[in-house]
Amino acid sequence: MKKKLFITLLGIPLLFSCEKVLMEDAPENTPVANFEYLWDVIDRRYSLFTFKNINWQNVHSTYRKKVNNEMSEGELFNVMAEMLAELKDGHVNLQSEFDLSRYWKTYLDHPENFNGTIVTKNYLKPDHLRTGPLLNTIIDSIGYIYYGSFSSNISEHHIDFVINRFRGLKGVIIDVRNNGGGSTENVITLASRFTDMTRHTHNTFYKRGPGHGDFYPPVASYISPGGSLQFTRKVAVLTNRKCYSAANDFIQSMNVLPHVVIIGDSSGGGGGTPISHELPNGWICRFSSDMTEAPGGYNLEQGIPPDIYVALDSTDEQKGIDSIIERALDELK
Amino acid sequence: MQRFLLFLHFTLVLSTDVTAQQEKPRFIQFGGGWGCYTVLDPAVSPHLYVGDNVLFRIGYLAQKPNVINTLDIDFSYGKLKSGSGNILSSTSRLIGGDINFRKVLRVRRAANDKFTAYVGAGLLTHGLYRNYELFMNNGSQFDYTNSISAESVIIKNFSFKNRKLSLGWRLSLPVFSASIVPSYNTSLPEGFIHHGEKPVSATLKSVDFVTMNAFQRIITGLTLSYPLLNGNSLQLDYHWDFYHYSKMNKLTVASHSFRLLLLFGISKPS
Repeated sequence: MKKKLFITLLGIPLLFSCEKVLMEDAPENTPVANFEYLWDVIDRRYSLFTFKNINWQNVHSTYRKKVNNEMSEGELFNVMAEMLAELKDGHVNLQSEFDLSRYWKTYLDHPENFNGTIVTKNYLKPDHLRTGPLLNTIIDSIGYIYYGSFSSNISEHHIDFVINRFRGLKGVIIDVRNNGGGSTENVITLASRFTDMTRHTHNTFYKRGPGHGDFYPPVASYISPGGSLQFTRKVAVLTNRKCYSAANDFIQSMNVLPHVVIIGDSSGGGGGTPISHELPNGWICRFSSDMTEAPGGYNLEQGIPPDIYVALDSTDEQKGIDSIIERALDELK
Repeated sequence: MQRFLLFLHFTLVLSTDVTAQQEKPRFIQFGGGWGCYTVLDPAVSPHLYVGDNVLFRIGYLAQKPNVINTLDIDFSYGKLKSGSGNILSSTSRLIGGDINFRKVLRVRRAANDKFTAYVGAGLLTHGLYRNYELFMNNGSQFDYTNSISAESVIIKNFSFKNRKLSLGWRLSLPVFSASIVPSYNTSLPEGFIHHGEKPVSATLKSVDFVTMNAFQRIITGLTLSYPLLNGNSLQLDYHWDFYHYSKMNKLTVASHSFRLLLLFGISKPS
């Protein structure tokens, strides 16, 4: 009896080890294996190859030659980051314990069209209100809101207060320049307060498999009036190339409203939802996982062009004037 | 912890009167324990995520000479850590739940009456949620499965220091399952990526009906029962649960669970 019990108890640890046999081994942690793993994950899961007309196999051929198992971590990181930069996507990063690769050409190669000091000093002025993340004031009977990041949460209380404050005004300027994105919940919370009726904002194409063109049929997204109060008079949304990701979504949600005008520069894009994936060496890559299009088929990855293109005039800037705000004030009066 | 040990001590002391051993056919069971999970989720990482979890169980057991019915409701909570070894190493919170109903019928009793074999079927519901804390937008991953399983149990009675103990071995093999997992690149099942879809319709769109070719699961374990006063008993339970989902986003999960369970008789012997 004791012998049988002993054998039975001995069997338990064996189960601990047998499951390892049933599970796939992690890929080798060598520079070459990490490079191949990253290339393969992007190949199978990145969503914008077809739209961007990128030949990912050619990219492999180019960068694989630069990788060998003798290279340092820093060298490997640089090669991988260069390879990812071929995607020309601000949602693509490689994170290691010593660096974060990024693609910022969506705005670095363009004029900034925003001067925070001028906005704070000459438009918001010291007496502006900071209602949660919404900096707001009234300029010549026009409401002005500056919202710098969709990562800063807007509550219903915040937006109720601001809408109430602006209720009798002719128009409202919503300035989202330099807003690099954040949560889409904040997009809906804010945009729904300027929405007059349910409207189709965009279509999302989710990937359904590893092929570059493997997508589910498009999923339509709508914006509907939200909260207890909405502002449906004239609205101007101010944009520049640094408006990215969730800010891009917000601009698109406002773009479909007939009483809204988009003024400034084109937004930076970032229409795909970024997701993360771990590599064999523990680094984490991030990349776009889906694709969004405006109802007419325009791909939102390339940024949303404004209705009225206005650049920050350098002569005006020296005088402390924001040409884009001035144009919006003219438009709404 | 001290209170629990004290409670356990008194329970064992109270059970020393062997003449008080009785058999009751129906029991409520509850208890807890420790487990260890290993998760391989290639949708987010090539590494095994391994970690401890705490376990709780409430259950019902009806044991008659020819049939055993069990209903187990299990809950587990724990934390997993990536096996990458990098200082960035991601961690994952884990919440698991099982509701398992099993019915087995006696098929063989050994001539010396020392072991009895049962076979039957089960309805197994299993859900496991992982939240990978460093991952953006796809950090929430889960799997949910309802299965019809083939069940077998062998119970061996034996004496140890004048007490009648029993050792049970069981095996569950799901043969037909309905599974829901996130779609290829998201944290949402296929039916739920369509905004505004009604929950029932979205759920039906998300369900994947699979047999053993796409979903392989094995649950096996040992249970040592020790009789207490008034027909109650104490059980030391170990089980190993392994499953592999081999559709688009492959997933492999293994868990070891050790539980200490108290079984309270709720009916007098017939």
